[in-house]
Amino acid sequence: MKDDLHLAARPGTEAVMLGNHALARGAVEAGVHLVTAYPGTPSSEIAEALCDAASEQGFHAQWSTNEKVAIDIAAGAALVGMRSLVAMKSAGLNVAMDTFVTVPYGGVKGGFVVVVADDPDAHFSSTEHDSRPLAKQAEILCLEPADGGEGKEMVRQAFDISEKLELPVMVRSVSRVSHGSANVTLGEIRKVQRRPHFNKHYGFSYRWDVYGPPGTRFRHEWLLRQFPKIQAYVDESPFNELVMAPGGRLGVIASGLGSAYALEAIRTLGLEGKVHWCKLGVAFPLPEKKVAEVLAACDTLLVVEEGIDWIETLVRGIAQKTGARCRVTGKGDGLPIPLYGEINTDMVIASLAPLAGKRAPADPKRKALKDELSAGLCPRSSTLCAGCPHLGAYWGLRQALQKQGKDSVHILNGDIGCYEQAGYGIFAENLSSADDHKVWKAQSVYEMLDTIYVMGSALGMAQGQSLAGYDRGKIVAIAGDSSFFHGNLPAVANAAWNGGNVLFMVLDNRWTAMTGHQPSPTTGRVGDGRSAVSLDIVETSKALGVKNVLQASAFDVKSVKEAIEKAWTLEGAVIVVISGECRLQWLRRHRKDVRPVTKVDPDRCNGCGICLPLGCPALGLGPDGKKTEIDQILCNSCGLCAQVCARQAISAAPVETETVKAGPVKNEGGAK
Amino acid sequence: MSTANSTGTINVIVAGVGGQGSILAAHILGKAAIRQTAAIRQTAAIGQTAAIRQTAAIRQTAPGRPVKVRIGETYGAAMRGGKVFSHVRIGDARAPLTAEDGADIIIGLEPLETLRVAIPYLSPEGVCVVNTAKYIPADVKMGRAGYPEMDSILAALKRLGRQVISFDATAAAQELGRAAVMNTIMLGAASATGLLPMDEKTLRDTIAEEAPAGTAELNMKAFDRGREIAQSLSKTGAKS
Repeated sequence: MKDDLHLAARPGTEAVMLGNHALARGAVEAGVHLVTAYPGTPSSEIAEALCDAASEQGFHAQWSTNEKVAIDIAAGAALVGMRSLVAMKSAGLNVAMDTFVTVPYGGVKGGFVVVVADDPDAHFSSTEHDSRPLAKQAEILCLEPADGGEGKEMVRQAFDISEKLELPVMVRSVSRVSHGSANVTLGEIRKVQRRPHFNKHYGFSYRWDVYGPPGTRFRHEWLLRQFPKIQAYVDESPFNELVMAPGGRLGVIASGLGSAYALEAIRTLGLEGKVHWCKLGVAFPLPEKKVAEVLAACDTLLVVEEGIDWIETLVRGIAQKTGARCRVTGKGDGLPIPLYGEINTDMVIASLAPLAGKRAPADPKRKALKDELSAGLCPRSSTLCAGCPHLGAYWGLRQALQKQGKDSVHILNGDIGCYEQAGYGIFAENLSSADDHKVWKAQSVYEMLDTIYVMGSALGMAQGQSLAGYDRGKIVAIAGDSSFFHGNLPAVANAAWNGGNVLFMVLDNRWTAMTGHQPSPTTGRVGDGRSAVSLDIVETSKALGVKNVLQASAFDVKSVKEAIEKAWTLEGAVIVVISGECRLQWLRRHRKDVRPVTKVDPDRCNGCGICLPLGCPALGLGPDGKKTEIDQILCNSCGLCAQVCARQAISAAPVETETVKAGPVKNEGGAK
Repeated sequence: MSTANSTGTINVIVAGVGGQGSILAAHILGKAAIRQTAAIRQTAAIGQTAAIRQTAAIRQTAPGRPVKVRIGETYGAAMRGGKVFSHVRIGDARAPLTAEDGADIIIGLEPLETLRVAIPYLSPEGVCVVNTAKYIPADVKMGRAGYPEMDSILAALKRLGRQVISFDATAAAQELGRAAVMNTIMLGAASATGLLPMDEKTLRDTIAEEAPAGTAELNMKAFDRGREIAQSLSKTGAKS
């Protein structure tokens, strides 16, 4: 069995761990009792590893249906005195926000840790959204690790701090901490033996009752009375570091991952010991005395952080409060560290060097060489996998759309999941907004989706487009099985209730595939691998009041096209559930049985290229550029390309699919 | 054996395409560095520090400081076929990513992606060990972009760094019976350059431990094959 958390290793051992695994290890070392999460990159590996470890270590861990449900469950456990952790990505905190900002009014009894992984540069996200200011909104402590090793310590200590403060503690990670690896020293695994406890008197802090006297305002006062305790912790927190440079007039304050880049920049510029240095492991509230000491000693202070200019703004506030005359500069001040994207060592060097009276290293000849060589690169666009069931679903939709009028402009609204790659485009194409007057046709599956906002938004947006009277083309919403249960249930109910001519395609591939194949409510498993009920999207939709629910198989293009065409003859919101298991998961069970059987007959193939927009990465033009070839290493024998070819030039074995073994529900993924 | 650059850190970047095993290769390097450090501590404890000469390199990376390993990965949303870059930083590293022009060695599992990462990151003194087997992007397969000529990729790498060692590691892996051991062949080739801050034995032990069940022997063969190829290329001067 894989041991991502090194549970079998002796304490004191040094291990190279993924940041998320280190964060998870911190929870195990603290004796966590309950863990919840909804998968979201870059946070998923935290709960994934904890789900794997749960039964052996004797705690409960689960994938919940969404982050709101996850935080409620974790909060419930903390209210009865148990140690709980909930993990999510930045967008997930928005989903969980109602509970996140309300639980602090009541306070908690057991240690309650909320781990949020932000994604600066939006590698895997709809926004770059910085979660740290939300700790202020909730008036709770926010820790921010520089790397996995520190993250493990923070999570471990956060449970104790939370119990002392009677408040949730937030730990804010970022992609490069969560998905980076670092050497970590393993600590003791503590077992916290505890029985859940509850008492009915409203005066207890863990039992906030919004109706009962003295009510909300009283609880807010209580929360604010906790703040000096938070501040007292922060002032002494081992995660903040202050190193003064006697005689220096320049300072650097850096938080979390920013401190890693800043330290390397300081070293590269030979400024060690020459600048005042304040490393922050706490992102809210700030250690005011330490910050004030640096401010008082400096003419100029550079703030380095990953995210928005959050620390910078707080430091300015402290400067104003303490009457410091220091210039505070950083992201919000025109330096070469922009407010978007990620920072790096080079940006910090470029910002810090002039402040220190040094020239930032620059080599115009090398830059010219790089520009020249960059021009010769070719892009590598993101694609769906070979044999992906979504390829079949999109091809069926494409065929159905192509039969509509030539001047139609359809709106395809995507939810969040692997299928959103149908909106990523092919990077080699350069479109310009000056071409808005033309009617654009999607040239491949990757140019089909028009909107991809957040989880659960596609159907509502489609409904809005319809109710606003859009009539230049079809309106479609597309989501997956996991997102169906995550955020779409209220939207489905609303569509059934309020109407609108919307086609809602639910692509059920049986897994939360994009974040690493966690089980979804349709898989038939829970997080720790045990069998569970497999929820039925068709029956659920009907129960929510949708009259017309149709079904198709993703590996049978014709069935998809026909179901969609049928849907368009019906009034109101129509759901088409398109089933077909994620091919990678299917292959994990069937690798041995799959033979490379999909072949192109070169005599029949006339190189028309009709199969290429299918978007399968195993398909491509051969070296002569005249005929299609199938990459036998990449091909996963799904047979879709054979259905697409108009000249029957591609031969494939019948598609074999079956449902997940642990799942008790009948197979809806089978094509034939 | 290398010495550390100005920041006391040796920077290795493993570049490839999702599914090629670049992340595993990067983690093997990180774990080997920790294993090597533990070996140094042990030999120091029994007074035989000088006996293991090669391990000195890892200490050189960060005199007087504990060895830190940082691995920063960049990859996109695709499950398969996306570009993947892993920065493995050994020594006194703090940040997950190498600074511009900071990579001492790039282990390139795919030529186009090797060039893509070499442009910003390869040190003018750096070395590229590159697999010449192309993994064609969808853009090219759909006829909407052209894959650069191999000669121009290798020439570009040469202009960016000090040395390029190139060969078809995928073909070599297929000769061994399994395309999947290409990454191990590349680790072997990288080890033959003498630039990695850990010795051959430590790398072999780490690979044997990290290899998927039942493949340790094949991976050992692959590692040796990679070393052999790189050494013969160096001898014959066939390196470009």
